Amino acid sequence: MSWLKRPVKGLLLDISGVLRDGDHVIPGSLEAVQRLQASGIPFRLVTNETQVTVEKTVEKLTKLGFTGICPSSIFAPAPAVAAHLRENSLRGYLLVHPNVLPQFEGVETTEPNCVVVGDAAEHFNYERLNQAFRVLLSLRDKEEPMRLFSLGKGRYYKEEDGLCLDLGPFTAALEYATGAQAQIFGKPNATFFQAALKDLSLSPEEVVMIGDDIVGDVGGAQGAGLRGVLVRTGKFRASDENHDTVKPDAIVDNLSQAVELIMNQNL
Amino acid sequence: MQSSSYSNKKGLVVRRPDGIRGVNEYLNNITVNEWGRSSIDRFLINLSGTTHDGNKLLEGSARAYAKLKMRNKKFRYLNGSSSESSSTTLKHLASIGFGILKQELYTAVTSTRDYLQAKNLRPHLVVTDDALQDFAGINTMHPNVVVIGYAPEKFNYETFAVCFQKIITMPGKHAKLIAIDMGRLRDTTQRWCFENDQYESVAAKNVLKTDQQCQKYEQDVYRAGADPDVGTGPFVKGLAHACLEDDITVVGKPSNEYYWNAMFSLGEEYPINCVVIGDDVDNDVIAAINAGMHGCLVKTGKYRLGDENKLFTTGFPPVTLPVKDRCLVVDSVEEAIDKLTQAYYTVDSSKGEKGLPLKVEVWGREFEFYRVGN
Repeated sequence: MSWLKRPVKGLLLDISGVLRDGDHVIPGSLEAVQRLQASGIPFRLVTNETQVTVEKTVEKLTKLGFTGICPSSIFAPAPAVAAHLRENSLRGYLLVHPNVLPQFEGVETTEPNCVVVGDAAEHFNYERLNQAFRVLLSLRDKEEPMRLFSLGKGRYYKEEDGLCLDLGPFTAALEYATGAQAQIFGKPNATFFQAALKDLSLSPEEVVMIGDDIVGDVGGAQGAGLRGVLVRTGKFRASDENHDTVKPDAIVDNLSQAVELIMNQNL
Repeated sequence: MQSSSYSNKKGLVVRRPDGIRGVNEYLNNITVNEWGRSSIDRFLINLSGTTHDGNKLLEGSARAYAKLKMRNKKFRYLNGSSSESSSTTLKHLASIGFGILKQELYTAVTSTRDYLQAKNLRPHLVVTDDALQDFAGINTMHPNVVVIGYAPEKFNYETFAVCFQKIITMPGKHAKLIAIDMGRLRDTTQRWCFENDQYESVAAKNVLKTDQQCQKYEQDVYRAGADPDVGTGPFVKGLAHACLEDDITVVGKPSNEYYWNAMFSLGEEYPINCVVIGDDVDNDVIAAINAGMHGCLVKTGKYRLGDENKLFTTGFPPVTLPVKDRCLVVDSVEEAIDKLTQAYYTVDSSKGEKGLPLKVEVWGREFEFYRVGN
C-alpha cells in the first residue's frame, strides 16, 4: 500500500464511472461520499462532461441521492473554455451539445476565429465538421494561429448500454485535416488538474485522483504530480490492468474500497 | 534484378526492380526486350484533370484513345474517386463525348473490391449508395474490416459509433480499417452536383499555368474562391484514434495497391512494364514511381509550373532527384501516347529501318531510336 505512505489531504473524484454509471449510483459510492464529507477531507468532482451544464450535473447527482454537492465543487471543461474565450475576446465556432450552450453565454459566435469541440454526440455531422474545418483553414490563410480548443480528448466513455464514442475522434479528425494542434481543456490536461488543486489550496503530492479512465483520469493526474487510483467500475476494461504506458498508483474495485483504504490509513 | 513482391489471391505476383542498378538496367534496355518491343506496354491513364476537366474533354483525349485501340495497346482509364460507381463514371464520360467501354475503366472502388476479394475480407461498408452498387456480391455478413470512402451524407456520429462498436468487437489481430482514400480535402477539381446530376468544374482553370511559384494545389483552389470541403482522411483518422488502430490500409489512390490492382486487371505482373499518365505530380506520377511503374506528367488539370522540378526520393538505396529525371513531361495525353507507343523501335541501328534515327529525350537522357515497325 505504498500509495498511502504519504498522507492524503484531498481528493479529486471523477463522476461518470466512479459515482454513477448512467442513471444508477455505483454501489457503495453514496456512502463513500458521505464518509468523505463527514471526515472533513476536502474533495472536488472533476469531470469531462460536456453534454450538460454544471448546474444540471449537480441536479442529476442530487436526484441520485448525493447531498452537499454544489456547482463550486465541480470542475468541468466548458466553463473553463468559455472563460478563456471571454478573457481573450475570441469569437468561437461552437461544435458543442446544445444543452451546454448556456455555459457559453457572453461568448461571441459571429465571424468565428477559433473552434471549440465538445461532446456534440448526434450533432456531429459532415456539415458542422466541414464548417469547423473551413474556419480553421481561413485562419491558416490569414496566417493567424489555428485555434482549436477541445473539451478533453477522450476516445470513448461508458453508458449503460456499452461504450460510446467520445469527442476525441472528431478533434483528431480536425487536427489531421488542418495540421492544427488542439489545446485540450479538461482531463488529461495538467492545467485542468492544477486549477482544481489551486481551489483546494493543496499541493499535488497531497492529493489523490480516483477515476475509471486509465489515460484521462489516472495518467492525467500522474502527469500533474498527483497520485492516480484506477477503479474497476465504469469504462474500466480488463486490459487496463496491464496498460502500456500508465501504471496507476493503485487499482481498486470501486470508490467505496478506495475511501475505506484511505480512511484506515489516515487513522 | 532484385525485386520485392506482393501477391494477390489469383497468384499474380508483383515483380519490380529495386535499387538504382535495377533502374539503370532498365534504362539501358528501355526500348528493347527479347522480342524487340518497347517494354512499356500497359497504359494507366488518369481521367480527372488529364483526360477531362469537369464537363470538358481535354484536347487530344479522343485521338489518344483511338491511337491506343489502333495500335492494340492494353490500357485502363483510372478514376480515383472513392464515392463513385463505375456505371456513374461511364455515364458521365459518355455524356461529355468520351464513351469508353466498361472493361476499359478501373476505379478506386473497383480496386477496393478486388483487394477485399484477394484478401478474403468481409467488409462493413461506409460508402455512398452509388458506390455500394460496385460491391454487389461481396459477402458482408460478420464483417472483419471496416471500409470507408467519401460519403458525406453518412459521415455523422451514428455511423462512426457503429463502426467503433464493430471494430472493438472484431476478433483477430489484422488491420481492421480500410480507407479507400485518405485525402484531407475532397477532390476539389470537381464537385458532384446532385441537383443537376452533372459534374461542375470548380474554377481551378483560372489558376492554371500562371507565373506564380509552384503552390500547393489545395490552397490554389481555395483562393480561387471555391470553398474547400473536408475529405475522407480526417474521418478515418478520427475513427482510428478512437479504436487505437495504428494501421490504416489505403486501397485507392495514391496507394501501391491501387496501381497494382489496375495492373492485375490487365493481366500484367511487372509494374516496370506499366506507365501511369496523370496531371497530379504527387498522386499520379510520384505514386506510380513508388509502385515500381513509370510516370508521365501531363501539363493539364492540377499541374502547376515547376511541378516537374519537384524533388522526391526513390529507389533502394534511396536517391533524391527531380521528378522530370524519372518521368516523361508532356503537354497532353495524346503527346504521351505518341511518345510511348512509337512504333516498335530499338536502340540497335542494325535492326532498324534505314533512315535517320529518331532522337528522343526521355528520363533526362537522349536516345536514338530506329523504327522496327508497328
